[in-house]
Amino acid sequence: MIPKYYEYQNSTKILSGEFALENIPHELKSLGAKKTLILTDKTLEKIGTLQILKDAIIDNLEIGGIYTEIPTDSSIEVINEIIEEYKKLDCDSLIALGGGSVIDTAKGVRMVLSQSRNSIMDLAGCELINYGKHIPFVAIPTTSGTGSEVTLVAVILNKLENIKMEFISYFLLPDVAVLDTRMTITMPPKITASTGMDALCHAIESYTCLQKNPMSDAYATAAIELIRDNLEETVKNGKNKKARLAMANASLMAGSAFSNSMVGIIHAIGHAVGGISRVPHGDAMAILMPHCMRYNKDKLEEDYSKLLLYIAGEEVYSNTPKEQRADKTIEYIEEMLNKLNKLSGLKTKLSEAGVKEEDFDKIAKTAINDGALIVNPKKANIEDVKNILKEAF
Amino acid sequence: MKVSIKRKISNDLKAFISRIVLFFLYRGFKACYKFDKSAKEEIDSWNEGFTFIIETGVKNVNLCIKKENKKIVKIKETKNADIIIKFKSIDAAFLMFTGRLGVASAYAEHRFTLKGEINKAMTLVRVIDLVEVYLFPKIITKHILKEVSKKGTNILRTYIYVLTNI
Repeated sequence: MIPKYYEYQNSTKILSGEFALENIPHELKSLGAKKTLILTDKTLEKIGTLQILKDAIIDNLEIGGIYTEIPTDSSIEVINEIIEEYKKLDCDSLIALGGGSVIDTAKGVRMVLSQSRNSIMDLAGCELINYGKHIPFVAIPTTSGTGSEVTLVAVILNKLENIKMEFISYFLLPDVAVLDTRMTITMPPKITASTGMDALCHAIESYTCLQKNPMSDAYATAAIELIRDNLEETVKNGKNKKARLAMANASLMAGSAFSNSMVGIIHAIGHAVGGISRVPHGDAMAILMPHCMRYNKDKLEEDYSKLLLYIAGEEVYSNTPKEQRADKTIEYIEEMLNKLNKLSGLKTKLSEAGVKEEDFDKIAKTAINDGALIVNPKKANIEDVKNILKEAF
Repeated sequence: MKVSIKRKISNDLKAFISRIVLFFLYRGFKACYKFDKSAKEEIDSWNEGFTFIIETGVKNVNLCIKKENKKIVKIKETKNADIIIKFKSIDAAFLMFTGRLGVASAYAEHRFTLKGEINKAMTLVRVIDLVEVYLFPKIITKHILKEVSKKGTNILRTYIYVLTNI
């Protein structure tokens, strides 16, 4: 069904596959860049991923500097430090190499630079920034889950108030997203499984949230099929480049879908579980997904039924009576989670992931104030969230 | 270039009706804070001085509310609001003010921009939903709200308060 009104934007150019990294200098130069600053983290420097990028671009692009101090939670302080470095080194463009945190940090840096502001604090919110000065920006994801390389969202920690601030604007979208298997091939099985389930969660929530539209549906369902066919394989055999590239594409497609139709209750609770109990985001998504889907089922029976085709394939879909398809979809996700648990040790319960029952109240209170809950089709209050947490425990 | 007369009349009418609805929205906030337990809990969670603005995109057709001395008061515009909801057009605002679009759907459709922390906006959204339960009949609220909350107080008492401020 076509919504009465919707908006969709994915202006990011995608470079996917063999020697994609080697095309970065061409892309940046065509955007007017001459001297770039690379943002990444210590781990990627240590395991050699950064060196692969440098080798691929150094002959054709001046690297003004490399900043490797980005922590797990990007913060305003880190952003300000990078801006000083960027100005000091006289750079004119950015390359973000990393997971969601590195890419979000780069978005924050670009936001401040393009808006000629001293601080990003007064830009918090939705669609507040204008186009501003163009800072060419390339994002290279090193995990296949966040989809941050094509999303309009950046989450930045405000250490002073200990809150994660959300910035939502189409002008946060990178100019170029680069999917190259050399960047994800070293990902350990457990992180592969966890981030893959995060991508699946993006696809499922984008297919079911209030902003869903024909474009996001197309991206979401294509992503689900790719995850169905490749996630297990990448966990079993991380060296399988074909499967790795498929997962990178799935993550990007799911990212584009949720960037335009947003995510719902799974993310709202997952953010709170991550913030309070320090559960890795993908693990929280994987554990909470079936339970939140059961909670939403009475509102989303039809959508979940349709998803069975993409998550389980034609045969299962056609052999399952219509009234059982929604439940079957949820069962399939649970089976997937259990398989990944056996293959990689991915946690299946909140209790295993380090969540304490005494924190349920705090988690629930945080979750109901998470922005993701506004687009969830079913209302949830503190008691509803606590019941979901109990079931997932 | 001038706007057509038909469009001008339409815009003026929408602005006029929006102004009236905003007035009742303000009174609705006050009434809910006074009589509705859930709304009171939400508003009590706001810091003293918490301020929000709803802008319609038309000059002087807006609502600026502050929590002051544990009361809901209307103030003149301020630049230091915690939350500013600014509709992209009077048409979008009109859809919401006439019960054809809920806050969640308006957000989902990108009908407004939001300045401020989104987690603070969430509690405001819940109060607006509660106020709408009182201001609009169920035939409307069941279409625009995810769930129509039970009214926590006598509806007649609320209406009298909204209309007379007594």
